[in-house]
Amino acid sequence: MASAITLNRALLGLAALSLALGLWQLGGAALIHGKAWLAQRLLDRAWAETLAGAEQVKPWPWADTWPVARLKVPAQDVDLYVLAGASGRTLAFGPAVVDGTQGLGHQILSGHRDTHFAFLQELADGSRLQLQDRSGAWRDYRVSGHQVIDVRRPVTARRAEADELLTLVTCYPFDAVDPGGPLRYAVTAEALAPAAENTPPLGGAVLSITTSGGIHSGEGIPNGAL
Amino acid sequence: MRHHLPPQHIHSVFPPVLGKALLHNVLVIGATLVLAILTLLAALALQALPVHAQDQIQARAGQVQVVESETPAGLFFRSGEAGSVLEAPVLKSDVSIAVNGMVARATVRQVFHNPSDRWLEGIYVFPLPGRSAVDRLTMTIGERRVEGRIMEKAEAERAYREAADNGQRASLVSGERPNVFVTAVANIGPGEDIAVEIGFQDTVAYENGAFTLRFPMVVAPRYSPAPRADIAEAPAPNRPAVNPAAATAPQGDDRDLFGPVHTDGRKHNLLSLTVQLDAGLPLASLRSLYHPVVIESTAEGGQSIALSDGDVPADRDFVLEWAPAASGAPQAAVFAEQVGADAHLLVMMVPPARAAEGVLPAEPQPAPLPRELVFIIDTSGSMHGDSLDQAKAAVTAALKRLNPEDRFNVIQFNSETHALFPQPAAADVANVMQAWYYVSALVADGGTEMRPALQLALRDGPSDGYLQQVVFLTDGAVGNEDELFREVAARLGAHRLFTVGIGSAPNSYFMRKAAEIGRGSFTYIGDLGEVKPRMDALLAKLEQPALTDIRVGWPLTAGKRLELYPTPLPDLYAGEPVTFAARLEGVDLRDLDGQLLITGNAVDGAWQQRLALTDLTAAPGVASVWARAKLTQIEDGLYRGGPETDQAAIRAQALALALDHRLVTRYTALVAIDERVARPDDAGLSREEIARDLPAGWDADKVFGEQASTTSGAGAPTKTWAPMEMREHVLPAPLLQRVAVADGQPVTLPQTATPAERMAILGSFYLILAALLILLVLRRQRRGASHG
Repeated sequence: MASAITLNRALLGLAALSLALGLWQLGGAALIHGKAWLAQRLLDRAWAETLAGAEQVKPWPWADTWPVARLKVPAQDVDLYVLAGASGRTLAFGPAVVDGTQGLGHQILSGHRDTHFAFLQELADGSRLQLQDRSGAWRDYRVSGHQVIDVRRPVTARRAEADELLTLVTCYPFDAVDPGGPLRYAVTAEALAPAAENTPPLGGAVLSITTSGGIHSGEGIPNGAL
Repeated sequence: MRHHLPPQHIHSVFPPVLGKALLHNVLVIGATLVLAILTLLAALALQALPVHAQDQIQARAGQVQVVESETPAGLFFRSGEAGSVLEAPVLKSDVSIAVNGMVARATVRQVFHNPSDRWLEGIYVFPLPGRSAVDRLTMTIGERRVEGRIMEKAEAERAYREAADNGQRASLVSGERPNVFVTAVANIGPGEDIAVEIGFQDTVAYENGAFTLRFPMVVAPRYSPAPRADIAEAPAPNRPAVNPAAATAPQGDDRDLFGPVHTDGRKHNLLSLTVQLDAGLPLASLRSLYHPVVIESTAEGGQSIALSDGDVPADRDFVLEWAPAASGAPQAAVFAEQVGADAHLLVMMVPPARAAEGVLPAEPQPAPLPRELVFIIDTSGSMHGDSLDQAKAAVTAALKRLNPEDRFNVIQFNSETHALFPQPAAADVANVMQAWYYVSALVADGGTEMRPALQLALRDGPSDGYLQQVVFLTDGAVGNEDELFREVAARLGAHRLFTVGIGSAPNSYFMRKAAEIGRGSFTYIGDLGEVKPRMDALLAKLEQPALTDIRVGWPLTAGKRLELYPTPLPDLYAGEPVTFAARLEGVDLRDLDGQLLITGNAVDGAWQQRLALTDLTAAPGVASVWARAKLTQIEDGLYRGGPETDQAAIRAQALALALDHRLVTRYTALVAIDERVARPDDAGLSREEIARDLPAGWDADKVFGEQASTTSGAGAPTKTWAPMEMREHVLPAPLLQRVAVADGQPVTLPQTATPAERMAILGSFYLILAALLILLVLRRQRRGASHG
């Protein structure tokens, strides 16, 4: 009898451990999504203040980032605040501007593939994007192409005039379980300015891998990776 | 945590793609059909064009004459009498070349047929290889053969004229340029044929492991700059002496200084060609570059090559190239001929690979010294079409091999000269792109004023330790070669001049001699496919001479009196062999013994090689080759000597040599006169020049058209931005990386995935495990209770 009770206790202990681990993992996952959702809600106020003229408004007192733009995709009901500095910590709260692209005339935004930028996989070429800058002005963009890039090779961003280009980058493939991996999915959009209607579309790849000159276009994705 | 399949409109999913592919195929087939119909229509339209073009040309000449609507086969020329149309002799050429090792003996048989009912005199201007030694003329009338005699040129012309006026059949072969000759045949009876056989000796070129035999078929129309007051009269007559009046009095036909040229878009002069090749070594390859040929092996172990089309239009160079099998690649060869008491040798020696290594890199390598490369592109009317495309491709290929430390410039010339940069500019991204745009936009039209372009390129500038190199891309269609050679010789300084002969019928004499005087080397591009390998080989050569200060030491048995040409031996670039001809006076070949010692300075130090003078290959014709080499040496004095050149002395030397060896030169001619009087006294003699065909790919309107547009391409585009794909096509590799940075900015794309999914999966797994364990425990407890 004693041995049966001992075994039951051991099994119970194991169950408790599994329960704890499971709750921890699920809680962590929930926390990531919760943080992603909550941060965007908290950014409402900070963005309103930014539009009112304040500089670098922190959404919560201990934050090390601040909103710099607002991105909308009307067709998919997406409304996101874009943060400064695409570090791993910042990306938990929202898509962010990739460092070193200021002054390039080409905004490159990076976001998590499973939270904020999960919508990218359903974003078709030709879709409309809207981006609001700190002055409150909205600018319309049209998605002109998408590509898959391998970041093990040096990646170069194309220069453009006056923010004509907007590139949204996230990790790829979308349904990979492991968060690492060298592939990125980039969606490029071109500004639709009323004055610039008659300029021909720039076309082509916007991010390119310079050592080989190769450009991975969306069509080249092997089916097995989907 | 659902993971959606991607929507179908982004990625490939079977059915829509299949539909798309079907649609695509239908479109492709449809487009192909439409294209085919359009091509057919265009071909029909083009067939109607020549007649139209001919009308235009006549209209331009301002002498519109009534041409009979039913044109009989043959050629038409207007005589001095206005309104009448005369029939010119019809010419057919048969060329047979026998190659023995490196010595080629060739016979050009020209048959002049008189299709008319009057007595004719035919005159035909034709090219031969630039170093050919023309030493034989045989005239055949029916069964009778008359051998030609060598004479001083004026004397030969007088003899020919007298015989022609007298009614005797006569023929004359004289040289206008080292590679341009004229045949005149007098008193061809109605319906009669007269055949003229011209024999000449030539040598085969060996470079980069391959032998090349080049036979030109047509003299391209040449451009002659307007006479200038400040230039002394050229030592050689610049116009065909046979028919001086014709050259100065245009009759309404399109013509250059050598005579009339057909511009009706059809080909008139036919030529057949055969080569008997005895290479003397096993061959790895044998091919004709521009003509389809039939190759048969002969019983003697050689090859017999014939044009597979039989007769072809004489409108482009024939080039035969053969490479020895790797094991049998020659290191040295000596060909010998005994004439009288003198021994003649032709020596070829390939510097060992060690000396050539390092200057023939497979990949572009930084040169030991930075270079200042100046490209001169001929954009005259004769370069229109294929030729200019080849030149553009060649410069583009060269631009890609620039190093960032180099300086460069691009100069174009037609009637005007224009340089891309005022001074050679650094080979940076903006400049190379600008050069590429400049070259791409070039248009060929107008005259060929080479002198100002050469002056600009060879201008004295501080070298600053740069290797100053000029790459000159042209078809050489000029008549003032001597003047240009003197210009190069006078201005060369530290520069090196490399010529690239472009097109279907380049002036090979100009290419070779200009490069020789310019202390560089020459190459030919006759086809777009040849551009890259030829330019790569040339640019590898540009890096530095492989062998300099080459000297030859002779054994005692060679005697005391020996003459060797060229003297001094020129510097060699990678892939080139040492070649020279020598005469050992009073030496019998059978007594010759010992070794030659050839020394020189290679990249990696002094180099020397010995060569046994026993078991020599006997080759008839070496004496002629030697005489021709000596003649070249003498005539070079005209360009090298400077202003106080003693032209009379050069002429005397050359004349003596030419008469001695029966060579046709600018001072001598071969003349054959039949003793019988054929033409009756009452019949007149009509003199007709046989028009040359335009070289393949040439556009008559661009060559003879009005030369008003000289502004072509003069405005350099300033745009320096280009898509990446284009830059990769244009820019040298070291610059590509810089462009990438200048054009955009390297970015680091952050990791953008959370472990949320993995955590969710793991968490679910643990929860299920926990639930199972609890269930297990509960069941055990229930069972335990029921037992208890």
